[in-house]
Parts: sequence; C-alpha cells; structure tokens
Amino acid sequence: MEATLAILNELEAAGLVERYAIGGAMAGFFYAEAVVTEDLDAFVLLKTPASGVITLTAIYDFLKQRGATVEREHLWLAGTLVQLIPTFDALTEEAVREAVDQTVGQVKTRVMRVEHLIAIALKTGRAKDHARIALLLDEAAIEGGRLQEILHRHGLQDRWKKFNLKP
Amino acid sequence: MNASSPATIAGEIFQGKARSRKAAAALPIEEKLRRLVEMQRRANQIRRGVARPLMRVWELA
Repeated sequence: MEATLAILNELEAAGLVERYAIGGAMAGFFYAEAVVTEDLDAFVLLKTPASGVITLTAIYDFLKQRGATVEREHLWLAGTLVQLIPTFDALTEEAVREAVDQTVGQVKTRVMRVEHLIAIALKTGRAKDHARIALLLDEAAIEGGRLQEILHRHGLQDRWKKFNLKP
Repeated sequence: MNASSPATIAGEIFQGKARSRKAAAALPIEEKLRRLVEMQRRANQIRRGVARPLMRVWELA
C-alpha cells in the first residue's frame, strides 16, 4: 500500500487535487482493529476551474500513466483497490481539510480524524456505517468535545440522539 | 478446573474477547494491513463457496 499512497501524494504534489485524505473503513484502521474491506476510499478536494465544471479525467489520466487500471468505479493502483471520492458536502470537505498526517511504512499520508469518520458514517447511515461507529466508539480515543462540535456544525445532533437510542 | 456458573464462564470469555479486540486495535498499521489481506483471502474462500463475486486481494509490497 505504500506505493499506492506515494502515488496519491504525487497526485497532490502535481496540483491535480488540492488535498486528499483517507476515509471510510481503511481510515478506521488507524483508530481501531482491522476489519475486512475491499477498497481504500481516498477523498479528494478538487480545485474548481474557472468553468465551474469539475472532471476527474485529468486525475485518471495521471494515475493511468502510473499504471492504474479502471475496474468499474474503482482504480487498481499499485496493488490496492482505490475509490476516489470527490468531497461532496461541507462535512467531507472539512474532514479532508482537517485530516491528520500518518505514516505507513516509510510513506506519509493523511487520514481523516476519527470524529469526522463517525460524523460521516452517521450521515451516510447504512447498517455497515452504524457498525463502524460502534467499533470506533468501543476502541478509538475520541475527543467528545470535537465530535459534538462537528455534529452541531453539520446538523447531525438528532441523528446522533437516535443512534444512541437504538437498542 | 474450578466449578463456575455458565454466566461466569461466558463473562470471562467475553472479557477475553474484549481484551483481544483492544490489543488488535493497538497493532501497528502495517500489521493491520497484513491482517486485512488475510481476511480478504478468507472472505474469498467463503465467496467461492456461495458463488459470490470475489474481492480483489491487495498486494502488499
């Protein structure tokens, strides 16, 4: 996975994305035990061109030049199945902007904070997202104040109450 | 072995599992990635058995 992350770092250094961060199940590995997952979710903050029309074409071309192959909605990139996900709302954008530096082997990368992972999973709201929240609450060191601020800022407090009321 | 109630035995088992999960959570990321690849391989063994599409197994350097 180090080679994959190195290429994502190159993508950012080349200016094709403003910033990237690992999210989803893979990001959870940095805070809790490993669980089975098929892909690495790389959230990318795109630079908005003057035309206002955003496209992933230049990014895909850059990655294909480095050996990536397209597999349905994924990229097989240096031995890892990667899903590139443009930030799609204020929450995911904030999560990428406030992601923290981590190291895998010798390669630096960036990972969403655990409080943002919880908020995004809560907003997405599938059964597997709720399972991820439960795992993180059980095993990760969570800053309660930061989590509450994020939930408040993104209007997720009611969902949080309902989640906590579930049997 | 000392005599215990089933509830006590089960409680000890669950405490052991919880300790195990905490230990797994504290492993270095590189070890977690090795475990992931092993889980992907095992998941595919099951998927083959039930004719579900296989997942791509990551290639760790």
